[in-house]
Amino acid sequence: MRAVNRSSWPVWVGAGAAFAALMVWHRSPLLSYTPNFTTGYMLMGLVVFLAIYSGRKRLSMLPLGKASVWLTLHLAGGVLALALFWVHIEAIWPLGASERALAALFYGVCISGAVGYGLQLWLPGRLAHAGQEIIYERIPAELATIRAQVEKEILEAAKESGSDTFGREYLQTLAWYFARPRFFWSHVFGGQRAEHWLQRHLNTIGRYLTEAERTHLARIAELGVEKRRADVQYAMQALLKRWTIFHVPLAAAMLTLAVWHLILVHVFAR
Amino acid sequence: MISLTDRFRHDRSAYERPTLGWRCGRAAHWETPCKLGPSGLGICRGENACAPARAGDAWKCRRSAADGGPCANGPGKDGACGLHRPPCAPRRTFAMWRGRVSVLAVGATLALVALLAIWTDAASERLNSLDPGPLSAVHSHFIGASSCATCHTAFGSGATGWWQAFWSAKALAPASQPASGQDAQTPAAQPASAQAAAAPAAKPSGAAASHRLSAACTECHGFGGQEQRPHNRIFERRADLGPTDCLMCHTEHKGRVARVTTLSEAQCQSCHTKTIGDFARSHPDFPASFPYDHPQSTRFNHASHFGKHFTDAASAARVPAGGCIGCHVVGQEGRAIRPANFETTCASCHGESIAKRDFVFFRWPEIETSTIAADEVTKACGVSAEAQASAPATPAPAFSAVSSDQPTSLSAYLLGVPAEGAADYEKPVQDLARAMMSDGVEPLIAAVRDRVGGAKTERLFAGFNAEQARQAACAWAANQEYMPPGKDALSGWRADALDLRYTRPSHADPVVRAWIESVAALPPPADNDDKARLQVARKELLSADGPGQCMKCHVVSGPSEGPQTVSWQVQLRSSAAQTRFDHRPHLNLLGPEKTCTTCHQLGGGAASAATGGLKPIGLATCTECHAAGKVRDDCRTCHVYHQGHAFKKRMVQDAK
Repeated sequence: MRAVNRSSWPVWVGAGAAFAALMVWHRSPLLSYTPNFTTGYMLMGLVVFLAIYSGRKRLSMLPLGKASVWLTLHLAGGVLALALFWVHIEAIWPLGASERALAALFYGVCISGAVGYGLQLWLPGRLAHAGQEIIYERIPAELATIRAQVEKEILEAAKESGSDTFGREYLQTLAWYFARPRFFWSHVFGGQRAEHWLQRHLNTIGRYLTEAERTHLARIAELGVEKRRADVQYAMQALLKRWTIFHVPLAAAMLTLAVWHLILVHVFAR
Repeated sequence: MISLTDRFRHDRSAYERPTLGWRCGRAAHWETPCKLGPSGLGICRGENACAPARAGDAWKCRRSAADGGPCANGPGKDGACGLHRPPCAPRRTFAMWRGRVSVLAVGATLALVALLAIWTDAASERLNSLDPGPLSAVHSHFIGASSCATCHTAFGSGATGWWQAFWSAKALAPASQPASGQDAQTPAAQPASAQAAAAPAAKPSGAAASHRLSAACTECHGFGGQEQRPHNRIFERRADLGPTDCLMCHTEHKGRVARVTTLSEAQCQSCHTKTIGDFARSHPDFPASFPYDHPQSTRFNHASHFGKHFTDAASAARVPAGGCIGCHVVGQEGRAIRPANFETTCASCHGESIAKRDFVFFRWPEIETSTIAADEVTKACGVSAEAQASAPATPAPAFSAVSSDQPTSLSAYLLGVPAEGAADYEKPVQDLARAMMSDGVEPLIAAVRDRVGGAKTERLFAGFNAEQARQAACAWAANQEYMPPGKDALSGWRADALDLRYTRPSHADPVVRAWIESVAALPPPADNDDKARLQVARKELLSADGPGQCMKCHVVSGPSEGPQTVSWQVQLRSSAAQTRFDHRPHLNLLGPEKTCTTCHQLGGGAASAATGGLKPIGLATCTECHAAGKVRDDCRTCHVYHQGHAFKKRMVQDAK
């Protein structure tokens, strides 16, 4: 769902044209006497439009257009809002405490949004090539299923060998791995720490097992690989969701402060 | 890709709703969650595998196929599920947490804003949520106990005030102040041109400010005219121009070092839609006689002086040394470089000629018949009349008047008689002589007071020798010329033969100046004869060869029939109040090789007299330096917006 592709070019061209028109207007002799009020209201409207994107995602049952189009509009609108913000304050960083707080929140929203869009450009492709797609909410069940299969293999091995060596070794080493998702950041950045960890411990355990038990260990190794794939899905999907914990609250705080700013300029700046 | 054959098929796994507020507590511990999941209130619904249904007298297990179908235990006799397990502790979903953090952020923002708004003290450096940024240095000094309310009337006005101010830009506007034209104290340093331009427009401020903040600006700042009008003026031909506001161009709270008055080209061009993108290429040409297109106060032809008189061997030695700066005082003036005083510049050549032009105030004229008896003269004056010398028996010879001149034009006007034709004027003149013989000079002064005006009588006759004037009248009545005692080396009033004259006037002589001013200022009389006589008198008095040769240099302005005014002081470029020029940086920058003649060149063709013998300065002269990439060339380099800026608030109140 990339925002810059062949189908989205009209949105970006439109945003560019809007900005060009804004600059021409702002530098033209026909400029309003109080351009900051005009640019301020334009910016406020644009920010409210950007905030509507969050509501659009909650109303997925309504035919409000394709999500990709909304994302493109959100991105193009965000870039336009940043440009409009600079035109509005006529600087990069304002002077007053209130304006500085508002600017800090605005930049925070912009930066978190840019980071989020970067994640959306980077991670989905890797998710598609991770070998197994799992719905994020079902990952706990998937991990529980894998863990149950692993424990079943160990129980069978114990029955066959009459020894609890495998079980004890499992509890001391592999149980940690299968208990929950592990190696979060390694998976995010495409690292191999999980594979190395699993292989090292499988080799260690294997030295103390009988030939029959090693057959079960091989099956556990396969489940370990399967679990690693689930971990990869979990790490990347979690990151794709969690970045919004910064973006959305910052945007909410910014909108609140923007309303305060609007009140202040109406009361004091005219 | 998830396919229909995998384990997430709709009939094999539950339908996930990630936007719900709660998720299964078992899933939170990475265990298999129950299929139902928590309720909307966060209550676990996974204690039982199913909710058995009654089937006749028995209960039937309803565990779904996805969960393995009906269980082996089956429901109990009371209908309870046979697969009972402890409830979990449901957890909030990520969406719920994000929403909570968002609400918290909004709440914290509101609380912080409210706290810092209430806890406000703009006079201190304490942080507050109303702080729009530091004031400019010039305005920051005015913040005192009243703090923001100095300009922002809504400050401290409570919720009601804020409500009114929010919805109306005019609400809470300060009470209007008198216009600066009436009340403002014009700074002494203000250019005379600006004052002159401001004076006619000194009317009430007209339309009230459309913004309360602009009204607050004009609480202190006044302008020489209409405060809420473009350029503080009314443009008669531009009825379409609406009122203006201070906020259109000026903004505050941009920092201590910010200049409130610094404007951009775009701000000028927001009204001046004839875009002048670049001074060098698209600025309109200057007027034909620029910068000498203002009314001249004194006549001085630079071309003839430099080209003719200064090169003449006879006068070369008396020419002030140094070229232009021999006459002009450089280094103190900004816009115009004023010439030095008369003694420094002109006296060496023109001083003597001024002294040669006496002011003949009154002349006893030729008459055909004398009606003044000899004994009348003897009785009043104690002198013997010429007629008394003849023997009584001898028939009187034909009367031969001692004077062969006509009365001066000023005499004729004062007495209300024609200057030609003795028969018409001899009676009033002899009556005057008779009156002066007995009453002294008072009858003559009374005539002046009556015809010229009494306000300046003292100045007009300063140093006047009344007795000498009376004796001159006696002499003329006796048909004799008056012979004054002593020598005539000193200047001043004297009677000489038949004249009452002011001799050897000096430059800026107060008596001559008073006479010229008084006669020039006379309005046209109602009587046509008087009007004609005054015209003649005025023409003589105000001619270049008149008394003191004043009018050779000083310019008289006004209608030819009067009243007229005389420009005694050099007035430099009084027009174009909305332009400015400062010679000082130009002189410093141009250096010794670049003299005044870089811009001010001799010549000027047909318009030479009007331009003082100098060539008009064209746009190219300025654009040689002032152009893009060179020296500053924005609008405000030369143009000013306001007229007659002054402060309404005075440091010292007028005494009442």
